[in-house]
Amino acid sequence: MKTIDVIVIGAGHAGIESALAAARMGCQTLLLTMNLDRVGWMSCNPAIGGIAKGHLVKEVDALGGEMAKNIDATGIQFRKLNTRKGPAVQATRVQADKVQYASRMKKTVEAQKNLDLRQGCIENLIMENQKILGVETQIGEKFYAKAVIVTTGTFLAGKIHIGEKNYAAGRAGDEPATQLAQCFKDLGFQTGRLKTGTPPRLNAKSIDFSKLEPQPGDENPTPFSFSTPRITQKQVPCYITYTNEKTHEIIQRNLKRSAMYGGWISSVGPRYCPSIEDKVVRFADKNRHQIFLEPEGLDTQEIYCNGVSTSLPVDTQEEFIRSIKGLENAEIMRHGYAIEYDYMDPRQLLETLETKLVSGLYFAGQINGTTGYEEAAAQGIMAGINAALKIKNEPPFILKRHEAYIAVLIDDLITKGTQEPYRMFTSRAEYRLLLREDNADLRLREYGRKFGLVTDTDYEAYLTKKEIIERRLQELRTIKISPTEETNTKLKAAGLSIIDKQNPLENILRRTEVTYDTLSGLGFITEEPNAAAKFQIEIDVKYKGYIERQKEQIEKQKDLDDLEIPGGLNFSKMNGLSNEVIEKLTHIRPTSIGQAARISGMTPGAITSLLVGIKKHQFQNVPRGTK
Amino acid sequence: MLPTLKDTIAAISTPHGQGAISVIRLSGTKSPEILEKIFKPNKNISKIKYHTLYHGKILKNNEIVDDVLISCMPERRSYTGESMVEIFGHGGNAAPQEVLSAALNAGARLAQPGEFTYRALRHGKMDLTQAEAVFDVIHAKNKSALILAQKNLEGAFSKEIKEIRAAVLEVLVHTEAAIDFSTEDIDVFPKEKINEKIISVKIKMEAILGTYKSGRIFLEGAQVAIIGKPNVGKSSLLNALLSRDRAIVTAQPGTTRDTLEEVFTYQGPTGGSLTMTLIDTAGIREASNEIEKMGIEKTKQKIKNADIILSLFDVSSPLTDEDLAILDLSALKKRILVLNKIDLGVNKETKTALLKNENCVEISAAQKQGIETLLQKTYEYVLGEELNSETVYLTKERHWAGLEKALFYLAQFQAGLAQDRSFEFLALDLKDAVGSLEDIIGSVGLEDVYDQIFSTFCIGK
Repeated sequence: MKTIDVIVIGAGHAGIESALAAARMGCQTLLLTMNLDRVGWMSCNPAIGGIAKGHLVKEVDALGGEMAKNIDATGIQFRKLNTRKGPAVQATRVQADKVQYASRMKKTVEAQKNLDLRQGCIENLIMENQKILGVETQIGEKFYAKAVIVTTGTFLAGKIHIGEKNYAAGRAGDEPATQLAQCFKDLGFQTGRLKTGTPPRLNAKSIDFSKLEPQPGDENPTPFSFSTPRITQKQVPCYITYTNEKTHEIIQRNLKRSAMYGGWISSVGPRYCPSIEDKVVRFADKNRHQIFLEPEGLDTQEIYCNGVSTSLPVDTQEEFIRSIKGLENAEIMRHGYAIEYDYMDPRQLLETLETKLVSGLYFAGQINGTTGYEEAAAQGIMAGINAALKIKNEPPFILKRHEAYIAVLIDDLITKGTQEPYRMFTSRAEYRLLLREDNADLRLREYGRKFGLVTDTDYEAYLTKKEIIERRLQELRTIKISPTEETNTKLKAAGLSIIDKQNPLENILRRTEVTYDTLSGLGFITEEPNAAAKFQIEIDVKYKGYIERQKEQIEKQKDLDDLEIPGGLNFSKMNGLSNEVIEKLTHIRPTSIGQAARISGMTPGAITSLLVGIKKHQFQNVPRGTK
Repeated sequence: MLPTLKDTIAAISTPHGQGAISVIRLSGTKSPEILEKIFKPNKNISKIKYHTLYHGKILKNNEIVDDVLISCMPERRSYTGESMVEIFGHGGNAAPQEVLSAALNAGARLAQPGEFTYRALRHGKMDLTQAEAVFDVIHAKNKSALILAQKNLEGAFSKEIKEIRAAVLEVLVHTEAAIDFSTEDIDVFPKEKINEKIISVKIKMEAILGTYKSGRIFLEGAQVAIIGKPNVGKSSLLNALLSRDRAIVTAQPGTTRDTLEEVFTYQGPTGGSLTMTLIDTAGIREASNEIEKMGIEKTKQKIKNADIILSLFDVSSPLTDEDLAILDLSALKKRILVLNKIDLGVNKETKTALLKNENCVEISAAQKQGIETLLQKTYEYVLGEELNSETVYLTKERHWAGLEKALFYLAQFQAGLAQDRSFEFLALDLKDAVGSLEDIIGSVGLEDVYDQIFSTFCIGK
């Protein structure tokens, strides 16, 4: 019996990052998938990023993940979102060539040292005394490892619904993982059922694009990865159309035939991604809903119909699609459907994504109740890193909420759990102004480097950028301009108000209308840093007040986060805690007062009781004779 | 030390002393069990129903200690949010003590003062402002204070705060939606509308802040300082005020040898009432020794803290330098000039000089003339309004500070909006404003931003 280091079950967006991270950290890793033709497959929307999701991708990239590099190489439409808003909420979104994306990802996985890729459907876990030993496949193969990371996405007891028809599947065209789902239940994991949906894919040849409004990508596409110098492949537009009252009438008329409204589905779907039938019912006063027609690749006619995810029967799908402008003769190539699947209550996880129940077993991605490739990748890399660290007997890697969206994601999941598929929003991050796409490398590169996930070239580029920013910021503070006639003439000529006393350059840069380029244009600064560094410098100077305020908030929160809750604490013996709170604390087992305070239903009074309880516990556990 | 929520507590909830009946309360999971041990119903009952009165005996060591009525309440519908029992027994000293000790013998613990309300708070049966109002109801000094406190106990004040929070949250919801769902086809409030919303919520907040002064006076009463030179009749006035038939005098030891405080409640002509703490101060003449100096300092302090000053003058004789000093001293405060000793004749110059000022009342403290007029004037002037049962009053400094803080963030928000700051910065101000409001009520059972975003906007492309 050969025991390797890490086994990853599932080669989706979480599994790939897990496996790559573990292998790159020197662990002998095996990545198992039910279908070798679906490595890195985009089951739903062929796009990466978006607001808050783009932030996650950048963070995964800064840590040394693969997602950003892969989309840079295979993206066919790059767009920067929220460009008219502040830097913290600007985000990148890229349409992928879905086939290219998957095939490049498979190539990367296959080329990775220490990493084996195999086809196999896992039906059982091999365990001993609540410790993982390995896995067993459908055909009786057994693999042994020190850690197992489960990234099964929507496959656990997956069931597809179209109208009144339904069948077991992990996604259209793939088998579900039914036996494994049962295995988790038998082990005592608390599971729930979630629902999500996907829209129909149309044949581009049957769409009248001349009637539609094109939505081009950015003229100068900015790469996702900090390592990509520029985007070189061909870019294509998407198209926008709208549903209309006729569409809504068709949907209303057939509502009872949809799986959702016909009563075939009872599980909860995401509120931010409702089906078209949901939109029509819940927002009956809206007379149209926007649809984005997104190409699924350069070499295919398939068009993703973003905005009309549905579980209506096939004839209704066809009827309502053809009621839409530009789609009058549209041919559906794949139908939309709803899928129900099992997920594990993420409150059963530690901060490392290891399960509390079974040592060495990790869950990452959609199995934890999240949605989205980005959320999956973020959990994947963290589970991979932590599994590797545990094997090496090194301290775990736990990010704080002020450091990364990844931390917000994991902390939310393990502390609050989720009742609907969890998607990241920027508003979930209380320190949003600090967690920007542009500074993900400044926030996280050092960690990635420490674990050996960041190459020398990438690390040097980061160091240089950091050094330039620091030096230039220093310069802005120290270089002062005086109200001489020469200076004020220059300012006036540039359309700026004059100065009446000596000012450091940062004061000038703080003005709304002034940019770094203004200062160098006026000759106040001679050397010019690159664009990325310039952007950082401007943010640092211009938003100083807000950034300082967020830093103060972090300090306050840090006091609470630094108050550790000892592992063996018995909450039920504590005074002043209601039964409901005791139950939650016992289930979630928060590691700090800060985390405990984020549990839903936790009151300031309960926190005070908890603090008193901890003090008492510490006092009682002082060794005899020292009291 | 925080009391535990795990055991069952018991206490006599009515005051000690002679009385027809008393109420003994039990709260906690073991309440029904304890009742079963100590209560023997007069009629055979198979099962005790909630919110129903039963007649029976309380037994302690198999001896009957009282004849009582009992009622049980379930967790969901009790004051504390726990299983509760109330025992209505005879009053006096012995009977309630015996019933209580029977309950304690059967496994209850003696409750600490305020522990029933503490449990209600901890179980989310009331929010922070309501728990504070329980104290105010119990300690209400007069009818106005009681009406006001009861309203806040019912949640009138927290309802206002929740409405304000909801209004700010609505703007936050639109702000956040504009950030996180900017690629969606949604209609978020335009800037002008957001500004209008914030202006109107600020007006509401300012209106509540404006009730603080009278709210506090209704609830806690007014500090009325009586000042004047020696022998001008301060003590006579005090006596005249206190010896009125309608005055309810509460003895309170003088805090120092220099000032004497008496508390009494005045029933206003229209039914409202005002509790006044009358402070008789020492004179203000130039101090000749250290002790007197300290006395004068104290008087000045009392004047500063008073809600209203009654400045006494002897209208029968010429004004002295000391009188003028007293006029000066109270000039910046809300005051009534009291022209005393009208029974001894009127010095025209003195009267004319004093009448140049606002709010004069002529009295004779010795003859008890004009006292009612003085009281009525004091009542009207100190409050400036009758208690309006429709108005929600702000009564606590803690609430005042929370609202002020929220207002500060909203002002900052508006400044940012005017400067066209991007929404994520503005959202920070809104979040801090919402946080300050939540601190006032304690955040029990509030809905979150996402519930609202997804019910307001059709999100999902």
